[in-house]
Amino acid sequence: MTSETKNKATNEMIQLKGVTKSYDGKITALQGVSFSIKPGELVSIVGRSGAGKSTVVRLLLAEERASKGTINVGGWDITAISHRDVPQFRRQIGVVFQDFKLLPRKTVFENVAFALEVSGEPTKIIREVVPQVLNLVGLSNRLHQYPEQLSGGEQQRASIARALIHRPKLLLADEPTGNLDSINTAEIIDLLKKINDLGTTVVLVTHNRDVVNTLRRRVITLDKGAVISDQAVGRYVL
Amino acid sequence: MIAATRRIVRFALQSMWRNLWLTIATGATVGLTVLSLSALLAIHVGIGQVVNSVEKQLNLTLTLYPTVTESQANTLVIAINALPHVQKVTYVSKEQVLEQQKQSGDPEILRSIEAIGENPFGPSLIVGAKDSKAYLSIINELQKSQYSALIEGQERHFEENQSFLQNFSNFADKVRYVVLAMTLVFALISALMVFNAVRVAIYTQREEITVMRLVGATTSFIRGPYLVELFIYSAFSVIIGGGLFILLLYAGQPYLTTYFGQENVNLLAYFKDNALIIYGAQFIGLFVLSIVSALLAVRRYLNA
Ligand SMILES: Nc1ncnc2c1ncn2[C@@H]1O[C@H](COP(=O)(O)OP(=O)(O)O)[C@@H](O)[C@H]1O
Ligand SMILES: [Mg+2]
Repeated sequence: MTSETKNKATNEMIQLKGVTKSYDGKITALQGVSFSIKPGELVSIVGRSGAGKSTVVRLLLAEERASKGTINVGGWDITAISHRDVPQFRRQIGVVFQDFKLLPRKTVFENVAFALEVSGEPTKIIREVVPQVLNLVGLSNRLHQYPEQLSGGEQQRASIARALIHRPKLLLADEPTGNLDSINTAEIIDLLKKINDLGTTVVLVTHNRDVVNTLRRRVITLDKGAVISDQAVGRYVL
Repeated sequence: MIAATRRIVRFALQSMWRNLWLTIATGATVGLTVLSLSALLAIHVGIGQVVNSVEKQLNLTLTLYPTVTESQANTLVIAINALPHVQKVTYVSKEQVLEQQKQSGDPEILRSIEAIGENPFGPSLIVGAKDSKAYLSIINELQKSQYSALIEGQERHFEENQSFLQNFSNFADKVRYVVLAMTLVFALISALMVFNAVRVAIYTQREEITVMRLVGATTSFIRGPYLVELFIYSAFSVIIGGGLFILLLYAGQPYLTTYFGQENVNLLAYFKDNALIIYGAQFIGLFVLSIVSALLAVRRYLNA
């Protein structure tokens, strides 16, 4: 962690100020977006397809850089984070995607262990912690299976286990239930609530009306790259 | 650091094992490259050896006047030995020449020798030069007037020799250029094949590279296993491809020996004697080339 990127001036978990993002200098995906999220919150980001939700996630992961504005995540000013600091930064946030993004030629155990191996965690600890977390997400009997041998819901739980293995302060989930049926969706949302109850800040990107309406938590609504509503106990307004 | 290295090696082996078909396909490409480069090298060396053996068999026989004494001939031997490019000068006395002619058994010659009643031959000198081109300068030198009293009927012979030598050395040069050009073109093609094989292998894993980045893997942690894999590929294909080629030479050398003679064309001996250099160089070349290809290919997927 370098002193330039580590910013202790804010006590927000996430802070976007006037963020604009355009791709190839043409398509404007986000336009002057500002919001902040406090530690321990569970916030849903909703909006139509193409509203810019995934762009927010990619910016928060430092996968893309903002064209304008500043972004702080977990005390890091990632507006101009250097390429070298990115791995260190990512080890402090967990991320879950609609398409799971598991490594196809690694077992469930190895997929989760990988996230610890990259940061040089000792093997002894990995052998201890990985089964615990897989147990937490209900996959203790699937340790040595490959992703393709699991159902969608199970794959998503494996990917959540991988996201949690670092005990991150922040979990970003981009449409984690997009490929799941309603039963699996409910299970995954329950899991995210449980993770949030244990103290992790959760940002849930979704366009599932039922999920948002039953959660009864804060909802930020994006439309055409701009925040059009931000409600403490929100409902799906689109 | 050691733990990370061990993990990187484990990932490499695991990935090769679990991508067995890709491993086999990539390995076969790299192995074939080694085989074909070895074959070209063998042709290059073989032609060189053939040319050398022909050059070795070339020599210039100078027939001296029958009146030339042994000491005069020796002075001439010393003078010729002092010329550049001369490898060896052999003196054949007039008695030996006579003996050789008798043994040739040509009845015409035998009859003439009988008729004359004494040795009609002069001594001769057999001059060997380092290569075919060198004979030309030697011939030029011997055409000078100071030698004309000693060397019999030189002009006609020399001119015949000269044109033959000129043709032969032109031919040898051309063959060498063609083989060199072929080797270069082939090396280039092999390089492209290896480059492409590595790119394809990495292309099939592009999403995995992105995922590794997303869970916080550093660039070197992602690249590491590729470097280990390529080291293994390079080593194994050189060992297997090179070993296979030497086996082929074991099988083929007897035929070469029959055609050209053991001491003239011996590819097996050449490859055995130089195996370390030939295959060491191929290994280093392959490894460096594949690493460069891999780094270029991986870089595209590491940007996020
Ligand atoms: N890599 C990209 N290059 C160009 N345009 C992009 C890229 N990613 C997203 N976009 C565009 O940006 C807009 C917002 O996309 P996105 O953030 O993926 O929306 P959402 O996740 O809300 O569906 C869309 O118009 C989309 O086409
Ligand atoms: Mg999206």
